[in-house]
Amino acid sequence: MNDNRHDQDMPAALRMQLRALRTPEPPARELWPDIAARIAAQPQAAAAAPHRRTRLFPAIAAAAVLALAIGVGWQLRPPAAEPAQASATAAPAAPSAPLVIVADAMTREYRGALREVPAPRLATPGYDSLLELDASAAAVRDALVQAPDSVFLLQRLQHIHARRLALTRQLASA
Amino acid sequence: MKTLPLSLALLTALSIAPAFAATPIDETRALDPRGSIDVSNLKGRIQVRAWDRPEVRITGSLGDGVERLQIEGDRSSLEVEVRYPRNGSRAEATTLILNVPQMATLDIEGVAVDIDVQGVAGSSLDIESVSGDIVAVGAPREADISSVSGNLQLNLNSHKVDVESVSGNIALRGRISGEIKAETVSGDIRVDTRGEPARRLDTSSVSGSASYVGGLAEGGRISAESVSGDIRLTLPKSLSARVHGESFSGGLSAPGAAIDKPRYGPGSSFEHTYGNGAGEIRMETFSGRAELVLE
Repeated sequence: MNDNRHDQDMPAALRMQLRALRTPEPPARELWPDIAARIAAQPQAAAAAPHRRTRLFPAIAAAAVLALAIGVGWQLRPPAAEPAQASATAAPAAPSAPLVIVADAMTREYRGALREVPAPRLATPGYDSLLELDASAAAVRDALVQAPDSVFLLQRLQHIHARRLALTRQLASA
Repeated sequence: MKTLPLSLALLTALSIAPAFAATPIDETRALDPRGSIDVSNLKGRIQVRAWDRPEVRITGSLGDGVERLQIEGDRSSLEVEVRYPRNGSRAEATTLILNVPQMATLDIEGVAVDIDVQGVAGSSLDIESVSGDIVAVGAPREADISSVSGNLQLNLNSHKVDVESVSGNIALRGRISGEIKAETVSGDIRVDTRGEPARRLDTSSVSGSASYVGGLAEGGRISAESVSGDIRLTLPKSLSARVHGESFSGGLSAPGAAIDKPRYGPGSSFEHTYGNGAGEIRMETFSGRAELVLE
């Protein structure tokens, strides 16, 4: 019955990458005593170099995460000639968080797919649920803006879009 | 004045005329005890009752304007479909009443159709509707049931159950020892395994609430997610699991667990181990309340 469900899910590679973002990787042992000992052993003037290196790693990691998210968003972007439609779920004022960028790119992609499907008639049973799905997508997107590192909200949003597309197709053919 | 009652009677007779226009159905086909049967109807009602005969009996009535009832297949597999004309929106509702072998595999599809299935215990039961309510009572090994706006009232003793709706409420009861997956957008989810320890439970909703009453099998997993809906998991005091709760602006509670809140900014979470920590439970909500209850 729901054979198409998995086909419409987020690509496995993307899902795995997004999941990886939230996985903390604690060090195998307590590192601070060694670091503290080395700092104490360094001359005051030379201490700046390793200090800069320790700050460099988080910066590189953050940049990598951002690049990944932007890359994913870039892959999912709509064609440049396609007019961007104003909507409740897309067109944020200033989407800066990586997952919000991905969410908005994904939303545009699903909207593009929806344009390929004939619009169901207003009187079709279940039509109200399409509106409800749109409102829910907007609510989840708003939540994601407030909690921009919540992968589960992004997954929920993706699932709502997939359900919206599947239901639109179903109602259009009914 | 005497003409008024007569007119009313005439009007009444005219208003119920379409009911008389419906065509009675009475068809019987042989089907293996473990055969499969697919049923589809766009509008009306589908009622299925299990019996112990190796045959399918179809009764009910075809609505006025319906093209025909199409029955195809053989002893191992049957398809029963109500065929509508190309522009069949004016066709009247059709009622299908089926008696099927108890161990038959059943696949039902409807649009504006109320579906009522009782007594089947085959390898699988699949039901899909858009706006109709679904009632199912039985013991299929696996069940996959979904509606869009209709409510799901299910009493199933099964190994695996997958239920889904958008705005319809889901009420699932029964001895389910394997996997349960329940998903809604605004509908509420109620799952009660009558004390049976499920091996895996996944619930997710946007604004609908979710509750689970039942056990957790050794090494089992529960995942409950919502955006704004409340989550309530009620498990036995003998629970053995590592439990993680996380919320952005909602509330969290679990017996004996310390809720961590950052000094500044939103968010709260907890990690707590009950018993030997054999299983794993994860509750995550954005603004709803997530609660673990042991009783």
